[in-house]
Amino acid sequence: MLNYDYELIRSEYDKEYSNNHLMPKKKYSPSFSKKLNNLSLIRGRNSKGKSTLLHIIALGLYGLRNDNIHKSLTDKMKALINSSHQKLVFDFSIESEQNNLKVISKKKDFDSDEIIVYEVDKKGTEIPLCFESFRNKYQLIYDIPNNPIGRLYGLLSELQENQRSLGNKLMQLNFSIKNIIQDVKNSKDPKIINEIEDKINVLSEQIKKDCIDYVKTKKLLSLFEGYTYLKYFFEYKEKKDQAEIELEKLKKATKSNIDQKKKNWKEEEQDYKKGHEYINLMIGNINDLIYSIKKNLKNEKKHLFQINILEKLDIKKTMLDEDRNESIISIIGYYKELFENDKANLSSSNKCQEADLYKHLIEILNEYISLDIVLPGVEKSIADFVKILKDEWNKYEGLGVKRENIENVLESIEHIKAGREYFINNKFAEKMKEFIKKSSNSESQKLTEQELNIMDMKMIKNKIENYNQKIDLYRNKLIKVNEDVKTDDFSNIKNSLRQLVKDPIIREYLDWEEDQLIQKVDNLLEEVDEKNKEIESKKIRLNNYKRDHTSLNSKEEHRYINNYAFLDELFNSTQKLSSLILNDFELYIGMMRNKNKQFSNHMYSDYVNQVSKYLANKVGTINYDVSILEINSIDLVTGEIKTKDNRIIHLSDLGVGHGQAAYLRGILNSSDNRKIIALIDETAMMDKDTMDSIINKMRELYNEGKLLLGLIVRQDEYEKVESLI
Amino acid sequence: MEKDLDFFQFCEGLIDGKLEKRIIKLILENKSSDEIVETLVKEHREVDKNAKL
Repeated sequence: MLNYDYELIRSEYDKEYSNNHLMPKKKYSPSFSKKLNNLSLIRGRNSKGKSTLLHIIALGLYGLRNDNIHKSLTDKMKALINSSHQKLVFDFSIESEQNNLKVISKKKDFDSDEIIVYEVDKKGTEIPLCFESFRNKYQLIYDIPNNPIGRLYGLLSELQENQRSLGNKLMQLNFSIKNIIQDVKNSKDPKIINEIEDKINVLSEQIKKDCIDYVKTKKLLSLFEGYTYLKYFFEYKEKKDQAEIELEKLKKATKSNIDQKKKNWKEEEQDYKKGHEYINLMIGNINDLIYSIKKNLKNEKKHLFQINILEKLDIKKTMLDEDRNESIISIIGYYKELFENDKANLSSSNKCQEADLYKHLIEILNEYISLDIVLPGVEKSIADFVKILKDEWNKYEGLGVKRENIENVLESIEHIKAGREYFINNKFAEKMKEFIKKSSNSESQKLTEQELNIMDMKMIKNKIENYNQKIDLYRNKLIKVNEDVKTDDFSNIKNSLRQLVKDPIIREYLDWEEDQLIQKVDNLLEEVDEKNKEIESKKIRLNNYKRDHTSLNSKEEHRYINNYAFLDELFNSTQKLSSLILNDFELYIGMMRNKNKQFSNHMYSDYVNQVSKYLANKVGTINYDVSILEINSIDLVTGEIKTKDNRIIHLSDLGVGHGQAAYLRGILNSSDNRKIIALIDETAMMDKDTMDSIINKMRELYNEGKLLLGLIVRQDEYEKVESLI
Repeated sequence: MEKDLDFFQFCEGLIDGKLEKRIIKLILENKSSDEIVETLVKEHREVDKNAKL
């Protein structure tokens, strides 16, 4: 039974006019019975409130939030409550004796949008119905079956909604299964515990072996480090010592070179000075000679020409110029010959011989002058006779001086000649010129790089530096390996090295080079490090297993512990299904709406077939050509309806009334087990048979207890409410 | 959602596999996820048990 009442206040003038003329607002209330059977047909003319009643019932049952209600109807519902020209209150209850329940909806205040919906159960308890609760329990169908053929496609929306709902539930189920699987994994599983125990045992054994291996490798490393570092620490120490000796030698050699250079310089300087002295001496001698020659020659002008040349000569330059050596010699040679001739002429004269006789006699008698004898013949003592001889010799004194002067000149000539020869033989000119040259060039006094051993010393110093670096390197490495090592105690180091060389492993590597040994040590270091890391990693894993083992033992067994594989299968199946429905089916239904005929896609073709059958089941039958035909399939892509008697009816050939009926049966059949509240307007286009088929369908639903309320509105010339029960 | 035969038949026509069909049937019967898993595990155990006999 539907009990209802409403009051609609509507201003039918424009607002300004209404306000100015105080025009009353019109009140509308039901013009039909306020009690209707659960399945009723309301007939009447326009503006009698048939549709208003349907709007109010839909509005009161969350019709504005129902996506399946056509926009034209929701607009009219909104106008009832949101328009400024009209205000509404209503109250209705739908009671089902069959189902023992009552649904009540109320809007009490004209100025409030609040609508209260609740149901009353068998015990009279009022249970509020929010939108979601209402939608879960009831299906509100409110439709005007205009353009029924076109709206058969609307049935696809319901299918799509079902698909999405199913897909989402599959996702939820999939998520729940995932959680259960996780719970099972985290529960006490004897099988997993056994597996973990096995892993713990295997891992423990591996760690043990790895540790032994690690210790072995570490020992080997220690052996090679000791040998390599000691060997090269010692070797570089020896090399350094040797290099330092070499350096010392070079330093000494350099010092010796410097001393030698100084000594040479000094000698050269002395030679220069000596040469200079000689030159000065020569100048003096030559001047004396010139003077003596001139004195002896007096006015013999013909012999003075050579003297004039000698006077003008720069003796020093001539002495240093080896090419002009002969100038002096040839001039004095000239005078030597001249004076030797003079001397020979003088010596051969009688007077000169007489003078010589007297002279020799005087010299002999002077030796015996003390003897007291009388010389026979002259009868004179020796002293008296010497006196007589001297008187006689004195008569030849001038001659003796002349000859002495000549001899002095010749002697001076010889002296100059000898000096000149000495000067030439000792290469004074050459040495003096070299010294003058060197004196004017400061660089010449310095030692060359080679003399100073600069490059060699630099090379050795570099070597020593390099050796020192190596020594420090190996010392540090040795200290790192063994803090107690005494690197200053070389005999101890030598002994240690000697011991290591005897080791059978090391003996295989005695001819290895430094780089090779260092590489070997590096490889061993890397190996040790890797083994250590591996052991640590395994220890962490072992601890994790032990922790898991303890944790799993402390848990209780999950009831699905033995169904893990099946749960996994379920997880995969639900995942696959949700993807198929939410992705593939969603795509196909869109393709159908676009009448896509891509039937080469096998899955799409199957999908279209199943949708066609689904729609056929929904609609069931059609009234066509004065007969009722059972439908096999409704293919919305090709627009064909196939009937069970193998007829093919094109949707375009269906009359409006037939279409309406098919559509209405479709939406009525589309219900699940929710209670249906069906409100159908504008059925005037249907003929009696078609209308009857709808009424029969609704009656069938009502009798099955599925229909809570069914109201059909039909325009007619008279007002009448028919109970269809 | 309670069981909707038409929709179930529609799904059944498109989905292979007994298990998958059974899952959909249980969902359409409006069973909760826990109930569905419970039911399916129970059925699976039965099948296992019978297979062993």
